[in-house]
Amino acid sequence: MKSLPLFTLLSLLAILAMLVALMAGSVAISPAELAAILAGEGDGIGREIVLQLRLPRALAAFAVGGLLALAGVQMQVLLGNPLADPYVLGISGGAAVGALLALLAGAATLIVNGAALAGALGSMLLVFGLAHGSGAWSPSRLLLTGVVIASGWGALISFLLAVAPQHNLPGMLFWLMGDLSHADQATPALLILLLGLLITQPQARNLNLLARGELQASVLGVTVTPLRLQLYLIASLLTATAVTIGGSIGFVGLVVPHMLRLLIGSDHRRLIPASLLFGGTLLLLADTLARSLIAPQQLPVGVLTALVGVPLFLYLLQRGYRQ
Amino acid sequence: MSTLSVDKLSIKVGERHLCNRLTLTLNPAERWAILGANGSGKTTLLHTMTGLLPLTEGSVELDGHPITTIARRAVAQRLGLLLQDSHDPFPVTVLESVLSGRHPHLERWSQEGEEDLAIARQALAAMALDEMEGRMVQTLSGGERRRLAIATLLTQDPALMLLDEPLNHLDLRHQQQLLQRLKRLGDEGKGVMMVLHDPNLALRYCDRALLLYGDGSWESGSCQELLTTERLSRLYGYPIRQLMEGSGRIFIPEE
Repeated sequence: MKSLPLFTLLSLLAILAMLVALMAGSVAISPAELAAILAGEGDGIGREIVLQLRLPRALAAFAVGGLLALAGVQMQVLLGNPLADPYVLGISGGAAVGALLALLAGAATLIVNGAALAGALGSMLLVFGLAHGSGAWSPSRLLLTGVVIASGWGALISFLLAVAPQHNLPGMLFWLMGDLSHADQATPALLILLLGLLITQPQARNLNLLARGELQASVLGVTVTPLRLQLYLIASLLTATAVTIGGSIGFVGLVVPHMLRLLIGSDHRRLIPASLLFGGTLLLLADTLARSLIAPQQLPVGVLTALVGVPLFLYLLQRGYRQ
Repeated sequence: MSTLSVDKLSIKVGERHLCNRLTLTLNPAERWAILGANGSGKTTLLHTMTGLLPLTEGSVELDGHPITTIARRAVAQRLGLLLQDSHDPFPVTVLESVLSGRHPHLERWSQEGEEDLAIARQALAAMALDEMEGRMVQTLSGGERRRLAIATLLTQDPALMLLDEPLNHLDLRHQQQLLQRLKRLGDEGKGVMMVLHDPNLALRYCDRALLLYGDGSWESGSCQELLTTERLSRLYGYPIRQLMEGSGRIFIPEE
């Protein structure tokens, strides 16, 4: 597919998902009402629901999906491994330990978010320091360090769940499965998403080369070390932001880049913006389903990303790579 | 026209000396063969000469500047290296892969243009891959992937080309065609240096040879003078004798 129709299509899908997200839910809003509200008219309650509740959450969902997909693309190139995802180096584990501790202490949402962010950044520095230790910084060493640290976080998470009092468990489990019900602030996430795009997109052609190995990239004129450092820091920042807002939402960061590679190929000049748009759209749809399927009760969105994503991915895998 | 000068270069891996105070210059229109047993340091030397490995002793200069101080992109415009192996963990097409050779010649925001496409397609045709440009690299055979890597180097079109075992995976016809092409590139002014495992091919297609004995010692000189049964027997640690064929010589291992 050529670039112009591709991005038109992806943008239309994103807008469509956004409109659905604003209309669907425990209180259904008709297209006519929505048009009136968006035009600045409409009655009090509908207007309140759409502008104060659904719009911020929809924007946050889109931003988190975009952050995870963009981080996934970068991690896969950084580690030279198509199975890498944003969480593989332990960032979500660190965030989870921070958040669960805060939840155990009965802290407010803001504190939980702060603890998650601190855990994510702490884990990132820990992995970086350990992998960097002796100077050698090969993808396999980074991957092994990250995977081991992530396992350590996993053990701590199980420990916290085991000792947690009964009444704290649902909140903790929701956080672990990924949950956007407390996401009412979209602006910081959108800004960081934009920053990530602006920093990564100029490197797109370098990423094409780095994807074929450090040596080949270096031979063809890429200064590899600073590029890898940049990828690590930016992917970590994007992931930390995403888990702070939405918890460990699985699947998006691993599978969205893959789906798009199957559909449009591996040229990062297209893959980066396409992943951002499609990751955002997918999570937005999943979150809309999560809060409307059995409304007024809400499901953790992480469950839905997998439920939407698994069949879609399997279909694309069957279909094979584009010719 | 570029030149690559190696001066008093010593390479050590662990406690082992791979080469001791190696001095040589790759000039335009020269064709060098590097010969040596497995593990004698051929690949390490090529990587050091390309600036991929740090120097511990001695210098490597591209056009008079230490190679490690030149921006990678500026190096890649003049000096190319065919790696011993290529790998593609992510799906790419043959055309995308070969176009990556144009990377050092493109500004950050420019796209590959008609001219780049023409250069890439010409390189694919030279490696008999022109029917395959839409194929995924993962579906190619070992020999086809090798030819694709060489086509990428041709697309990069540097003045100096280092090739690490370019004949790997190639059948007899493609080996000969590649060596003839490299010989022609040398005639047209490129400096070419390649790792070979067959002294007969070095004799036929190269002017100069570097012998790496694996214990730090080395010899360089014209192929005709340097390649003798004594030296080659020592180099490979296996008795080698020589047959005369018309005015030429053929080396064969003793049975």
